Amino acid sequence: MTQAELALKNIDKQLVDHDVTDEALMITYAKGDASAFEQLYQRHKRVIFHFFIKQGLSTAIAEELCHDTWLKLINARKNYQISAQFRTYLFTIARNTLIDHKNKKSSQKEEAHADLTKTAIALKETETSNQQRQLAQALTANIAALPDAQREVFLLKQESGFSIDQIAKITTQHKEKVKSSWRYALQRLRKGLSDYVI
Amino acid sequence: MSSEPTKPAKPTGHDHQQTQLQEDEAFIDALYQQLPADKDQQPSDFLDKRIIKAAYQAVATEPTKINKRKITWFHFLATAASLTLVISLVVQQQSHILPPVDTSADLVSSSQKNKQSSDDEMIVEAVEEFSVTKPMMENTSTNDSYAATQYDQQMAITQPVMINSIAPKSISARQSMTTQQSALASPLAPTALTSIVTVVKNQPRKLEKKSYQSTAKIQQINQQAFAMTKRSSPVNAATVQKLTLAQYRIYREQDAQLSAENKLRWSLISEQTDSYYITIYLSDNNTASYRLAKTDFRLNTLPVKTHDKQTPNKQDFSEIILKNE
Repeated sequence: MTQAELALKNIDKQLVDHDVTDEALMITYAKGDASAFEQLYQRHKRVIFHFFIKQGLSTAIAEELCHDTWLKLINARKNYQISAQFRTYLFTIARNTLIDHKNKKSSQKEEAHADLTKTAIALKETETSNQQRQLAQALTANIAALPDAQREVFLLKQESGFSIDQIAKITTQHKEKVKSSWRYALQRLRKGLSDYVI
Repeated sequence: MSSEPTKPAKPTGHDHQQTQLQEDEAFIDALYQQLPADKDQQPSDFLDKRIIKAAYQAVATEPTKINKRKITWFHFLATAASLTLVISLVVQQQSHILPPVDTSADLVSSSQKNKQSSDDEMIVEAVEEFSVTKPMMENTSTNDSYAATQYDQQMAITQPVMINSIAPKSISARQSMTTQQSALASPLAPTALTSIVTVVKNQPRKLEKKSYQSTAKIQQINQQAFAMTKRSSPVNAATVQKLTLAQYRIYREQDAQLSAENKLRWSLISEQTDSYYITIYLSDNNTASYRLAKTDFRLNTLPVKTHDKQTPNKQDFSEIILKNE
């Protein structure tokens, strides 16, 4: 088999892999095909990591919570039903993991925030301007200052791209309450970041 | 024709909130567009490897369907074995609770070989238990009185035959012999005896129960009889010494000194034309046999009731009276 044929085969495989939905991959993994899980992990590892980083946690803690989240998904593979959207299912697990962590480490919250502002948004100075770095730090600080419910809804919608209905399902809250949290979070952030308007 | 200009709708509170929300969303979107792309922010390779490894291990350690089938097969086998064990235990226990008829009959026969009176009791009870034809005949009519009389005659003939045949051994084993003997013994008996044997065959449970009761009675009688026979040794007329008057007086003196509970007892063994043969039961559980000349002694038998029936004459305790006193 020539290199051209191999390259063509890899392209085909990527196309096929892209066509397969998350839900189908999860079902395949539940049946015993571990390679399906690898694809799922590659698709969603970054959004899950960002979800924890944006919560104001350090990189180490975010990785620890990522590990717990994926392990819970592995152990619960038999319980997954195709009727549930995979991303919603995954973020529900991630949110519960975060709540458990907060319950355990509530006394260390302020310390984690301080650590977060230094490490989580560690942008490379060589690649970003000073203005952008200041803006990123200010955004992170303002997000961390939001109440838990508002921060959770803001990150799920703005960072992870979920709709209000999906957030209501993930957080097991009423849709109107999610809307309200979203609106108040935007107002607070706009007020805190008004100096950064271009 | 004039038309009034339509007034613009007054903005409500809800509309104002929607407008405000849209503006806020646009502001945040603009801020995010200014931020550099954070593609470099992702979990470490070490975390990736740990998670992928855990995913493969979870699938590898999953039990296969073949194992499940094996477990199911062993489950049924274990259940069947347990049931078999329980049933066999129950059957074994029940066989201990209800011994077979032959066993109970053997118990009776082994203890009844030398006791004709006990055999009589058992057979009479058995005949009373299973003789169902007599009441029917009594209740039929006055014209059947002859038939009732015939029945009594048959029973009178049949009972001795059964005493000799059934009681010493197993009743069930002796049923055929009983029928043959009764047929030979009396030409009137076969009908009644056949009916008795039939009832015995059809009601083994009742017979067992009755056998147990009879066995208990017989064992009780045997124990008492065995004690009696143990105390009274067989008498040989040639070796028995004659009771002299001097010995008699010594015994009477000893007896007078003993308390009422420990008084000496005398039992008549046999009687000849010129003498009596007696046994004296001493206070130390020993016995002594003597021959009493009728010229010197006279005996008054003292009837003793045992088992609500008078025992034969040789078992009675006797009062010895000296004629010349």
